[in-house]
Order: sequence, then structure tokens, then C-alpha cells
Amino acid sequence: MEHQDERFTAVSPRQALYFFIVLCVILILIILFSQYSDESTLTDEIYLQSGVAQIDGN
Amino acid sequence: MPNAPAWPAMRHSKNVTTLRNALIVAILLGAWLYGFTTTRSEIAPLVPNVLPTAHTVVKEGDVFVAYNTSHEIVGYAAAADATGYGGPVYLLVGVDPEGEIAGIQVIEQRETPGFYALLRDNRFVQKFLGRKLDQPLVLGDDIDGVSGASLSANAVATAIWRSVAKIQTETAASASVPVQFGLPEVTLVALFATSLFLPRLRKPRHKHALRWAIMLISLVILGFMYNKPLTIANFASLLAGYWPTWQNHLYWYLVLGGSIGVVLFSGKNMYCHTICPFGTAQDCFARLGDAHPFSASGDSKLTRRLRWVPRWLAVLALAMGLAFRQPGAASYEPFGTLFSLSAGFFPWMLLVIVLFTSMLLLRPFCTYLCPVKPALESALYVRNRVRRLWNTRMSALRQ
Repeated sequence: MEHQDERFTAVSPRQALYFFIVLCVILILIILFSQYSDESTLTDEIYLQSGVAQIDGN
Repeated sequence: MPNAPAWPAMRHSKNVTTLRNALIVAILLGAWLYGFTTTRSEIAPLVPNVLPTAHTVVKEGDVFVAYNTSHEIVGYAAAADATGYGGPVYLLVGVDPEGEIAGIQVIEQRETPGFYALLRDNRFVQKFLGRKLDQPLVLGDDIDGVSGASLSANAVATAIWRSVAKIQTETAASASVPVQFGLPEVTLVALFATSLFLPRLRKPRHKHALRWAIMLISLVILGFMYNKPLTIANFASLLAGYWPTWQNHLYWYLVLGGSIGVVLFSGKNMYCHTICPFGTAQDCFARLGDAHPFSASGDSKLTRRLRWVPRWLAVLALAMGLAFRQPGAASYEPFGTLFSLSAGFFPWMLLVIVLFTSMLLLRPFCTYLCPVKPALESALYVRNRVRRLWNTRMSALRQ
């Protein structure tokens, strides 16, 4: 007879799938919001041929 | 009510679908309008920044003509953008009456910070100053590129070229840009063309062999060699109106036009099924393990609910890309992480989880998370709706 360890409860495929989706969605939301919250890319630079003007808006 | 007729339930479901579609269109339209009204401020007041002797600025078409106090023309200016790796770069270019680039202002750039810093360090923008309008501006030939930030350098060069092209059109000069048609473009066209033959093959063995041949070529060339899979950022750029110049971004048009075109022509999403290099990577991991598709065992409600997860993720990514006019940041797929093997902690974590799960479950990212599939399915949905409408009208006319 097959021995079954009673300390663990079996996880159904559906629960495993839910866990995978929820975990990935959380990661995706973190990735998305971190990409959009990076405001350091906004600049206002000016380069001139006659002169060395360079203005950083940040 | 045990024996209730089926039609009220169907009607209810149809109403819910219509409402949900309307909500998605409203969200995307609202995001687009928000982005349109909050970005791109007035350009004319900025013209003296690139043409310092300008006193009065008159807009003529897409070009600003600058005059001094004696009402003599002191130059022309035009603004244009181009998409780099992470997002668009928006520049204003001023040209003096002799046809030399006199000044360049970076109005806004949403490029990946690390790449843009490389351009600054290499004083890349300054290399264009003093260039004549009739001189070609080909990166690598006429202007040195920036190693490690080639896409960002290309975006800056393209934005400058587009601005110059506007001024040239206004001042009737001419310029030509060579068309980039290399190995990735040839491969992509060949893969799309070959994928159209797949449904025509009768023997499953032949179908299976051809599909794997297409997938492996795509994985190696479009994935690991060039890192050019179709992402949701491509759709965000398309909707935001950030269309790159076709001459040096022909691939962008081919991958978007090809995947949507095949859906409209054949009614099948061949890109996701056969060409996507990340789909192939998942299939390879499935072979390593013992992956099976998840069976909802008749639970259609669960299947339907899970199908909406990637759809809402796609809507969210697209809406953010349109609202902030930063299409590059809409892409959350782990494609780039795998094919370039460089990313932050969270993209790496996502990639590892997805690839590990791929050994147990068939294509988990494609099925439950990828935003590209819903984007292409929406084209399929529109195609089928139009066809159905057309057929109904035609049969009504015949009667």
C-alpha cells in the first residue's frame, strides 16, 4: 500500500495555476509601474553650433 | 425556475460582452486623449533656443520659419520624434539659411536611462551640429554610432533626419536614406510566408516538422541573434502614432503588418502559434519536462475568466503606454530578458517562474499572461465581425 505523508495537503492543479497567475500578475504590475514611474528620462537639453549652451531641466 | 429558456442567458452574455468591449475602447480612447492633451506643448516658443537670432517665428506647414528684427530669414526649424529602445525621443532642429544644422533641442525623451546616458557621455547629439542639409546622415557611415546604445543612437539620428527632411521639403532640397533590409527582415518575411502553408499540409507529421523548423529558426535568428520579437510596445507605438521611418525600421512594419496581415488574410494567429521566439522557448522547456495543457474539465466559466487575464493586462499596458506617451514602457514581456540576458530583478524573476512552469504546463505565458495574443485576437475579432456583417447584408440583398 502506498504510504502518504499526512503532514502535507495535496495542492490541486487549479490552485497551482491560480498561484502561478497571481504571482506573475503581481510581478508584471511591479515591472509596469516601475517602468512608468521613472521620470529621470524627462530632459530639456539644448545644443548649439555657436556656443556651448546646455540646459538640463532636471 | 428549472426549465428557463436558454436565450435570456445568451442575451445577457452578449450584453456583457458588448459592455466589456465598449469599456475597453473607452479606456484606450480616454488614455489616448489624455496622452494627446498632456504631452507635446507649443513648439514655436522653443524655436529661438535652436536659432538664437530669431525674433519672430512663423509656422508654415510642419516647419517654423525664423525671422530677425529686420524681417530677414535667419533659419528654419522643425520638430520630429523617433522611437528608440525604451521610448520616443522628441527633438527640435534648427537650420541656418546656409543649410547647416545650427541647434538641436531635446524637447522630451523617454529612452531607457542607461542607454541615453551613453549618448550623453559620447556627446552624440553634438556630432550633428554643423552638418549640411544636403549631406547624408547615415549612422555608422557619416556619423559614428554609440556602442552599447545603437537603438537609442538610431532614434536620435532618425528624429534629426525627420526634422531635416521636413525642412528640406519646405526648402525643396533633397535627401535619401538607404532602406535597411537584412537578415532579420528576410527571415521574418520567409517565416510568415512559410507559416501560411502550415494549415494546408495534410499529414500531421509534416505539419509538426515544418512548425518546429519555423519555430527554431525564429528562436535563433529573431530571438537570440537580433532580439526582435513582437511586443505590446509595437502596438502601443502604432496606436500612439509613433511610426518610425520605414527606411531604417522596415522590420517594425514587417512584424506588425505581417502578424496582423496574416490574421486578417487567413483568420489564424500564426505569429503566436508558430513564429514567436518566446513561444518556442517555452515549447523547448515543455520538452525538457512533461508539460500538459491545463484542463478545466468542463468548467467553461473558469476558462473564460482566465482568458480575460491577459486581455486586461494588455489593456492596462496599452492604456499606460498611450496615456504617458511612453510605448516602450508598455512592454512587460520577459522576451528581452531571455534574449539579451540582461534585466532587473523582477523581469528575471518573472522569466524564471515562467520557464520553470513551462516544464509542467504548455505555454503558460502565452495562455495566461501575454498581451500580444489578445492584441492580435482583437484584429481577428474585428475581421470576423466584419465578415459576418458583410455576409448577413449580402444574403439579405439576395433575398
